[in-house]
Amino acid sequence: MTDPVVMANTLSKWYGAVIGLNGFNLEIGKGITGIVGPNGSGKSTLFKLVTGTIKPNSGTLLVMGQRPWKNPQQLSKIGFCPDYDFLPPDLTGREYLSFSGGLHGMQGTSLDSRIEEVLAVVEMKGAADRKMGGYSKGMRQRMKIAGSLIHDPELLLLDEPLTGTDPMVRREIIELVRHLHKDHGHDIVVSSHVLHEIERMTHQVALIYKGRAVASGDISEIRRLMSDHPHDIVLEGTEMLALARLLLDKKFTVSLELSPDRRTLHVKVSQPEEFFDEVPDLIKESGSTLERMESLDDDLESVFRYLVRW
Amino acid sequence: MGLDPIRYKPWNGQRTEHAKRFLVITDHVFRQKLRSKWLLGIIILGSILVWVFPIIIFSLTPHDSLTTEVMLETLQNGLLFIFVLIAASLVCADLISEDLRGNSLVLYLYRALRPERYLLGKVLGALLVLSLFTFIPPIALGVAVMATQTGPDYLASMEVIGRTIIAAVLTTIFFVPVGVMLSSFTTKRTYAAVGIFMFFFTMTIVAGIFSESDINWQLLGPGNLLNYWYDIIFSEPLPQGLSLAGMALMTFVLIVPPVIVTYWRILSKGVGK
Amino acid sequence: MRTQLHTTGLLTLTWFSAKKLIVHRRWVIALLIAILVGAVMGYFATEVEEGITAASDLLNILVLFFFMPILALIYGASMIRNEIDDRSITQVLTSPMDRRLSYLGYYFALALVLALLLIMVTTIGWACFFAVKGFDAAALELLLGYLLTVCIGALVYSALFLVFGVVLRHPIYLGLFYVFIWEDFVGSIPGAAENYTIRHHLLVVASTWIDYGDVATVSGSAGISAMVLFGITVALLAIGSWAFWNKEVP
Repeated sequence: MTDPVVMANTLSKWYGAVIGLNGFNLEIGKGITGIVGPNGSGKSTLFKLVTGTIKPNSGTLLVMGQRPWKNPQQLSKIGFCPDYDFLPPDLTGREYLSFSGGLHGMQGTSLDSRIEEVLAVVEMKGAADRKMGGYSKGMRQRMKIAGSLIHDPELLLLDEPLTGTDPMVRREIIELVRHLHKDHGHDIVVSSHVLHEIERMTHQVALIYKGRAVASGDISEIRRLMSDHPHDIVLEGTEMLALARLLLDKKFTVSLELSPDRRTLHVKVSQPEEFFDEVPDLIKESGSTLERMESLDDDLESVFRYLVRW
Repeated sequence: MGLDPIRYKPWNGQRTEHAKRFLVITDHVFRQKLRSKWLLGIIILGSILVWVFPIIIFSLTPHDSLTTEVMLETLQNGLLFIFVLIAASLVCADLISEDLRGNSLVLYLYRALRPERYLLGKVLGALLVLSLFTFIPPIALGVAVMATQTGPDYLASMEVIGRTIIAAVLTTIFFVPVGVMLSSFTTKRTYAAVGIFMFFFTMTIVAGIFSESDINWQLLGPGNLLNYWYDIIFSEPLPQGLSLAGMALMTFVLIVPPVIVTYWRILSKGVGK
Repeated sequence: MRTQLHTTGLLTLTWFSAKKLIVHRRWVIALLIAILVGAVMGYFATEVEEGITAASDLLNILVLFFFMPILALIYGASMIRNEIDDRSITQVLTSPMDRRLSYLGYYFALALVLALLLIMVTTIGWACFFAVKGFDAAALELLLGYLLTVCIGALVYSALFLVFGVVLRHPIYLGLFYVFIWEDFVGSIPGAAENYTIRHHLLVVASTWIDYGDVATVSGSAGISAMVLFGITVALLAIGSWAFWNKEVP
């Protein structure tokens, strides 16, 4: 098993009376990992600790095997795109990338060609010579990502890259994130409070709430682990009443609800694997016709809501 | 559907007259400034250095009554000028600049609040804060010296206190218009603070450079101008050749045009945006 | 590899920071100051009989006494502080450059720009004065003396106010206190108090190459003052870079 890219062990950080992270434990592996949590849950604090702009008050944090605080050398392997806007409005995109590259020791023709490469990746070649003060929100996000890519880092940290963007731009950035991992091999940690958008990027997630990691891993795995929380499944079709009678006898059935038109059946099951194994036979036995079957809470939002008791 | 008839409850409380709403701004400015540690530190330090020592010394020294010399010696102290200048910079620097920076100027003017009332509220708030250093302590000095006098002529002492009140009002008002004007030109309060300082100090230096050729150049220096006004208020003779018209003109230039410019800035930045 | 990284990073940071200082609207302040100094000195030249001594005294009052520390304060105290406040410092903090070296990059940019601005102000003031009185070799010598002095002053004051910007949330206020109360007021108290001001040591050093005006009469050991200025600059740079190295920037 490969070493984790980020490993936090009882990591705590507070700002005066405000707790950023509280006994935080997390391992982030290679690939794309989503950090999910509401505003104020500690996502940005985690990123600042990983980039070494702040230091932990207690606990340990290792990024690629090293502590990040006062370790600037490690930053040559990390690209950071923060959630806030810090692009100098008086510089053009090209000048900004030249500045970023220069800070990473790049210069001359190699820097120039790398700038062209990165501009092509983020699709900003056309606007690169305009001042960034005139960029739209989406363009600024792309340029921030470009700045974090210029030195070809191993690990890319994207803090809420979709915030404030319109749906078109959001889709483009999600595609870009996937493309950066799949075609360019970067490990990416991306944070958001919009759960379904993280799901579109990755299934590896870490859920953060009030400074603690409440769960991490594959979304479905997390769901499966929540055995005391019944799964909510909806079935739609004909002869649902007959199917409901058969389901009542099964020990995995927790509750049933039939709609007034007898076409929709909501069933809560305690063991979803057994349910999905047996449901074809039950449908055949009941003579019903299934038009739709959907697991209502096998998504991140329901998982999260359950875990933090929303 | 419009408003939810069950949840929405119109407010039936008493509304203040429009004319008095600037007092809300004044109150806000006053409270906010008093929370500033730096400002309180400057006021306390300045009060100790400029007022407390004279109060103790002049009260304990045997004296018949409160004289104009006592007040003039304290008012014309160079330290008073520096501390008033620092305090005015701290008070005025963010009065308008913070509202410009946060775009809340527009929010103020969206309310039932005219630009002149907004400006009046801000200026009054600044004056109130400054008066903690420029108005209350000199009156306290006068009262303390009067209370410890050995002679019977309390009327003469009260006359001096009366003149002191006029001088204190002038001192309080003197720096605020320029301070507010410079605050309206920038969104960064630190630049406004430095600008206020630089403005008055530059004038002092230029006045010092040219005053050897003609005494009226001294009127460029705000400290000198104030001191000459104190001389007039306390009926002391002015230096020969000093122009009263020049004094009036300089005072007018430091008070009236800055207020007009500030008002114009508020209109241009806030109205119709 | 690390050396190349640090050298390139340092040069990049210096260049971009210097450009930012000049391109930003604050150059208007320097231009206004230059115009004011030129106007005052030009007008004064028409009013006085003596030439070079008056020019030296005016440059001393206007530039060394007042505008040099003020410009250093405006530019220096806000340089890093502004970048922390508007978060544009993120790029520097998340680069692989040692932060202590980054701090030096800011310092070089600040000292360079400040020196250029002060050279501009001094030269314009000098030119306006001697345009009336007439240029000669002594006038040129005076200019060169003041230019050297303001360059040294730029180096020292930059170090001072840059530290303020890193260590304090509102560095301008302490800076104003230092310039107007410490250097002006305390520094004018007769006795040893003036030894604790940068201006005094600057004047002592300047007295070795400026032969006219009050500056020429300042007493003291130029060697010791030079060492004091050097020591102060190095100490301030060390403190500032250490503070920057240890600074958390949330």
